[in-house]
Order: sequence, then structure tokens, then C-alpha cells
Amino acid sequence: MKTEDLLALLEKDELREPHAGRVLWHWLIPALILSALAMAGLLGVRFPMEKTLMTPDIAPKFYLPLLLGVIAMPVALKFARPLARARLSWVWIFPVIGLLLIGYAYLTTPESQRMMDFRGKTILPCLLSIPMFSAPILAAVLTSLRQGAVMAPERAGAAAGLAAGGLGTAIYALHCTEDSPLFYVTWYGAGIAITVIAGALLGRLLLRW
Amino acid sequence: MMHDRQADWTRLLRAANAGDARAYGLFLNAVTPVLRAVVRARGAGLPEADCEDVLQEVLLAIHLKRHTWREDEPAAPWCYAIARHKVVDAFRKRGRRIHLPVEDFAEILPAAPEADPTEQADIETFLSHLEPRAEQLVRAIGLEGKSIAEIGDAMDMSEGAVRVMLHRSLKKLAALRERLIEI
Repeated sequence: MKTEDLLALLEKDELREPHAGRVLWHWLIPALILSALAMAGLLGVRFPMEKTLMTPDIAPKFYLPLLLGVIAMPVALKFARPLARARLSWVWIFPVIGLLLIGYAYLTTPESQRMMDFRGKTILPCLLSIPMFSAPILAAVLTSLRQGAVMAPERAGAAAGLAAGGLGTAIYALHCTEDSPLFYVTWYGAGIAITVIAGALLGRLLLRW
Repeated sequence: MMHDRQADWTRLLRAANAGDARAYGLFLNAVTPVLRAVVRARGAGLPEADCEDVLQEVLLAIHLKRHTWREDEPAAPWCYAIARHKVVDAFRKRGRRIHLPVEDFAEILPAAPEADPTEQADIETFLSHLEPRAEQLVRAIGLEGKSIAEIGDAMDMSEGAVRVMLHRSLKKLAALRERLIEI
């Protein structure tokens, strides 16, 4: 087939693929519901929820990753368009807030208890759960990015991991009973980092086209 | 002249998005010689037919990814980005690593095809991987220049069904290239 024949074919094809954003809307809500149900079914929500959501010392463990996920999601989506500038430089604000929380907890926790708070009792479940509950969301974001034309597969995958990790962590926080920032900043941060790395590796595999 | 190219491509692609099929044809015909020149310059040593293959891969990608261009963006840099990605990828699959700065695109002069027109680019081999009706449809449009309506009549399908089958066939062709050329 000559190139001009191919052009004749392309000219006649008027159907356009849906935008990555539309695909994301299609998959994100089911993914969030799946993660939330899995968390509730496998681990159980911690009641009363006001304790997690309204106590000043504890609330950041839910709202901070939620905010991270909500901000990172549209940034991740930008990687779908070749000319869109996806900016990730704001991310550093989250480790800074995390360190401030750790500093505050360090000062307000009696010395004898600091190490106990830092270790908690659920490091391993935490490090496994966060990537697990983030996985459906990561799948949704990667699926929508595949619909685009990603120029930087690893960076795009990492951004997808950041968005998914944030939201997945917020879901896990509704179960988790570790309430010291010494614990949750450290290990939630590690869980999100694992999700980001997984996203980057998957991006390299899946966002090629 | 380069500024004209920018403005023209953007204008044509905008019109195409608004449903002007003729503008889309003009856009593709304007883009093709530029991309051919880039592929040929980069693929020095690669047989002409292979260069034409790579070009076809790029054109398919531009077509199938055109929803990733936004109307407020200039069309030329978008084309270059897609083409650069595809060209690098195509040469990588053929065992070569190339460096392709985006400036190459903006500065290059358009090139006409050189190959013997009977030369079979390997999209031909991919056609046989389509299901028979899809292959028949693609050949009828691509090689015989039939219109959507004519094919609908000939194959006893609604025009809508023909359009969907054409679109799916092009996606399939692009995917087949991804899989089959991988060495």
C-alpha cells in the first residue's frame, strides 16, 4: 500500500478517539468504589469516623494524602497530551508539611514513647495496604493515559502513581488506628513512594505506543 | 515560510476538527512531505521502502492521536512531537538508536516520494492480519478509492457501521505494527 493510499484511508476516517480525561471519568469512580469496598470488607472502617476526620492531630493522615491525590490527578492527566506542560514541582510542599508534623509530634511526645509511636504495630500491613488499595486507581489512571499520546512514559507513570497513592492512602487512613504523625507521615509516605515507583515501572511498560 | 507552515497546519487541523474532511486531506498532504524528509534524513542507509514504512507508521499515529491536540495549540509542534516519538521508536524497533532534535522538523524542506510506486510497503503484510471483511473494506477505500457510501452498498452495511469498521481497522493496523515489527 502506497502512502497516498494510506492518506485516502485516513481522510475518510472521521471517528476520533475519546480524550484521556473522559476515559478517566469513566474508570476513576468505579476504581475508588472498588478500593473503598475492599478496604471496608478486608480491614474494616474505623469507627467513629469523626475520630479520624475531626481530631486535629489525626485528621492530616486522611486529608493530606487526599489533597495530594486530588492535586496530582489532573497533573497526571496532562501527560496524555504532547504539548501540555505537566508541572510536578509543587510536590515538595507535601514532604515539608510532613516534616513539620513529625517535628510537632516529636516535641509533644514524651521521649520514652517516641520510638514506640514511630514503629507502631502495623508497618507491614500499612506498606502492603497502601499500594494494594491504590492499585485499582492506578489502573484507572494508566488506562486513561494509554488513550493519550504520552511522551514521557516513566514520568507519566510516576505522576499516576502519585495521584493513585494519595487517594489509596486516604482510603487506608479510614481504617488505620496509628494516630501519631511519627508513624503515619513516615510509613504512609513510604507506601506512597512504593506506589510512585510501581507507577513509573508500569508506565515504562504500558504507556509506550 | 516556516511561520506559514505553522499557521497553515493549525488552520487546517482546526477546520478538520470542525468536520471539514477536505481540510483534513489538505493537512495530511501538507504534513506528509515534511515528515518524509525527516525520516529520510534520519534513516540514511535505510532502504527507501523502509523509510516509507516508518513514514506510514508516523502518519497512522498522527491520525489516531489527533484527539491529543487541543485547538488552542499550534498544530506543527504537536505534529513534530508525535512524529519524533514515532520515528525514534520505529528506528529503535529496527535496531537503531537515533538522536532526533525537534528543530530538525521545523527546518527541513519537504520531500516527494522516490520509491518505485509499485514498491510494496509492509502495511500490505498487515492487511492480511485483519479480518476478511475489514481487509476488503480497507482495500476498497485505500486502493480503489471507494467512498463510504459505495462500500456500504457493496458490503450491505450501514454507513455508520462502515465508519466504525474503518476506524477499528486503522487502530488494529497501528497495533499490529507495534507487535509484529518488534524483534
